[in-house]
Amino acid sequence: MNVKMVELSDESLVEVAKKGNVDAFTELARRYQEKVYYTIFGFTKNHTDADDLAQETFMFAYKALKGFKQKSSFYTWIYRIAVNLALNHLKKMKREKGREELRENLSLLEDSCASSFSPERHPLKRELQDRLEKAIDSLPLPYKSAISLVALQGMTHGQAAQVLGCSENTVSWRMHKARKMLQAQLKPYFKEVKNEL
Amino acid sequence: MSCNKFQKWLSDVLDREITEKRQQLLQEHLVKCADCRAYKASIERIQLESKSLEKPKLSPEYWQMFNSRLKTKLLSIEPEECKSKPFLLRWKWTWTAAGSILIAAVGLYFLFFQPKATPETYAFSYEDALSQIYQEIGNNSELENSFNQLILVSIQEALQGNLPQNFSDDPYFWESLTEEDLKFLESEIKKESNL
Repeated sequence: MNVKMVELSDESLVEVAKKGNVDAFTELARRYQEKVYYTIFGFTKNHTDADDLAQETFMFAYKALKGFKQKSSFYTWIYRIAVNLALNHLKKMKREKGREELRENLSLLEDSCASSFSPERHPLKRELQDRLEKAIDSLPLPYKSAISLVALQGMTHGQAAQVLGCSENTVSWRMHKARKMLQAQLKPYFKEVKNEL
Repeated sequence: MSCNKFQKWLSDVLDREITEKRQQLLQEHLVKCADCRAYKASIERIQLESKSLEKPKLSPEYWQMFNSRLKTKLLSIEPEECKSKPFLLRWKWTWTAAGSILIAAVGLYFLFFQPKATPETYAFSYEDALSQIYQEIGNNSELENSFNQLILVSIQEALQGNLPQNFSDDPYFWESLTEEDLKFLESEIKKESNL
């Protein structure tokens, strides 16, 4: 990797990449590829789709870079593209793929490190996580987007609002409603596991 | 204040998006409200479990490969594909222009082609209904006399109290007039029609 590129700020890299410098853009991609991938993975729950969509996100951004006026940060802009592509993908798919497929995909990953699936984990805790994942998947897309960006990716309401193209207040209410929906779905289960974990 | 409002604030607390004042009010409410305390415990648990949801752990080699694949794809992109769209072809401006044209078209339609009210519209106004009839009578004195005669009979019936029970069966506008008005009207019509 070009040392100079590594030292440049996002803004400078964008300016250089706008002139057609692929190295500058791949440096930008290197900085955000993990975040973009995991954001998309939060929607698709599927490694292959997340990988394809993450690549597509950067390809799209590169092609559209000349129209990027830097009114927001590159980080926000790339996130917005990623979220839109992921949401479009979900709409196209109609329903998301099951967890079994996720596990199959994960087991096929050649370069993956030790898996976080641990046989020693408490079976009830594992079941709770399964249920939580299903409950998140079943949320309407605007609420799922908010949960994914704020609760899973750790964004502030303001950052999520920029990515989703809505107000902070809207994000705040979507988070509240999403949590209400999740709580309503998981309430009976919480009682079951309360004393066993 | 409702529990829903406090529960919204509990959600804001988890995202560290709450003011000190609200935090204080929330604490005071939690002391008193068992439902909200239970709700707080639930959403905190959800938050905790969300953080530890399974996701693939990908190696540094994977990310290097990801970046290399991307670079190969980027190098294969033709420069024409990266040109920004001309100003007028951008969606934002296209939709704005389309919306403005639509609004202008609707405005022009109502300005120039607004349909005229049909005669039925006037049937509910006695005065307008009469003016329509007089317009149709025009200069035909025979028709005018017959019509005046008809009105006169109706007025006389009204004066004699012979009107039907249900006025809607005989909907003449003078039904609501006083006896004095009716007599005046009768004399005027007689004068005009030489009766």
